This record gives sequence, structure tokens and C-alpha cells, in this order.
Amino acid sequence: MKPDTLDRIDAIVESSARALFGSHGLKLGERSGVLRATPDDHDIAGSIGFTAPELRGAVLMTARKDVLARAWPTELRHRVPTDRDVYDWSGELVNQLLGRVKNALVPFGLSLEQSTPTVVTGWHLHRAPASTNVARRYLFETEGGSVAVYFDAVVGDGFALAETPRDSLQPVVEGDVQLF
Amino acid sequence: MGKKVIVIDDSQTIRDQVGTTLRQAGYDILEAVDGVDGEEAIQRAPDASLVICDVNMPKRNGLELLELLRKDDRFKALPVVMLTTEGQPQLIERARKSGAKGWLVKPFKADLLLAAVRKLTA
Repeated sequence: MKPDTLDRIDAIVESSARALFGSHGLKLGERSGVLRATPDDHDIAGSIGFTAPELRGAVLMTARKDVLARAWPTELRHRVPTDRDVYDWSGELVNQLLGRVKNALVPFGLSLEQSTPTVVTGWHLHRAPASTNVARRYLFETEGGSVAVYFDAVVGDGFALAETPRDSLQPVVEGDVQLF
Repeated sequence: MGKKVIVIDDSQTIRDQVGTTLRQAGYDILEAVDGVDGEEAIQRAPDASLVICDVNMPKRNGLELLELLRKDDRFKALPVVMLTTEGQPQLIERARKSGAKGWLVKPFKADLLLAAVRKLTA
């Protein structure tokens, strides 16, 4: 793996998280320091797996339920989301986060297959130390609390991203509609 | 009674979001939670005007369901729009070749979704 690959992955995951939460009305602040352990108040975690040649892993997102509820879809804000709503929404958010990461990687020649999301709730959630050779951590502050994103992957020696994006592989942008 | 739209997605939030948007515009909404449940919903509602279908779902994904519908004479002409986080050109081309009528990338914009649905159900 080239030395700058992790920086490029960091930039893609960070911009994807900002764009995702921004599109749902929750502004993520600057990344706050180094995330060494899951913040003590996080009580929900959504995870989704991915695989590609020379790369396999998962994206995990943890937060407090009330923080994710602040990103509840505009169309549904006539009602307060229940815990059950937030469980489902957490899974959909991590799905949409991976979707943005995937779409950002496509022009660089990387096509990820994904699983469906899994959500866990509880008190004092902590991400165990990763056993993967890539373990990136991102902690964002919002007005109501923090959101943590973890990108863990086993990356093979042959893994490489194209140096420049290919126009022919540009994905459809989030929110866009194509009718055939 | 409004025109029937079948919304297939494993996320209740997305089904609610799409359903709320379209119900306000006068459509009747039927829901299904994956590709297998979706096929059953379509068979139960042969008068449906449109299917809005996620791609990545348990049991059977949306593209597999689309391809299955196109092999069934009863549903060959039923318009299907994919609503997904996927934006990859290869997947979109696969859907287009399999007879999908559109591709929307989540998170969707309600006005664009509604405009697409109105056009495809006109």
C-alpha cells in the first residue's frame, strides 16, 4: 500500500461523514483529537461490512441515540422518533455513510461490495482493539454530542487506488435522479 | 383511491420517508422489507402503478428482484425505480438493461422523488 493511501481514505471517510450528516441537518464540527476509546456516553452502534479484491472490513459508527435522532429525516419530523426508530435509522445512516465512501472510491477504480447493516445498543459500548492492519478512527463533535466513525480493514499488499479519478467512472451524486 | 406504489426497503425509516412523501401527494403505499417480501407484495397487488426498490437488501437484492420481474409476463411492464446508496455506473447500467425506469441515490430529495413518481405513473 502506498504511503498516502491512508490519508486519502481518511479524507474520503471524513468528507463522506460531513456530507451525510449535513444532508440530514446535523453539522459535524472539526475532528476532535485522537479517538483512543469509544466515548463513555455512546449507547448505539451501527456497523456494515464491505469487501473488494485486496480489501475487506467494516465501517462502525457510534453515538448517543439522541444525537442520531437530531439527524432524523425532515419528512418524518412531525413525530418524535422512538428508540426503535433510532435503531433502524442508525443502520440506515451507516449504510448511507458507506454508500458515500463507496461512491467516492469508484472513480479511483475501487468497487466495494457491502453487507446489510447491524445495530447494537447498550451502555458503555466500547470498540475492542482492531485486529485489522488498517484501523482508522474519526471523532466529530456536534452541538448535542459526539459521533465516532471507525474504518477497519484488512488490506492486501496489492491494494492500490488509482492516482487520478476516471471521468467514465464518476458515480451518480447523492440525491440525484436518473430516469431511463 | 390513489395509484398504488410498492416501496421495498429493509429500512423502516426509508419506507416511512418515501411513504409519507407520496401519501401526501395522494398515492396509496404498500410496503415490503426485502426482495422476497417485495415479490409477494407485487403478486398481491397486480394493479400497482410503480415499484420503488432498494438494491442492498437481505434475502434477495433489488436487482435480482428486478430481473425476476422482467421474466414474468404479468409484471414485465410494471415500472421499477431503484432507490439506493449505490451510485456506481456499472450497477446503474445493469438496472437500465434489466428494464428499470430510474435510479435515485439516497438520501433522496422529496421534490425530485415526487416528480419522478408523477412522471412514471402518469
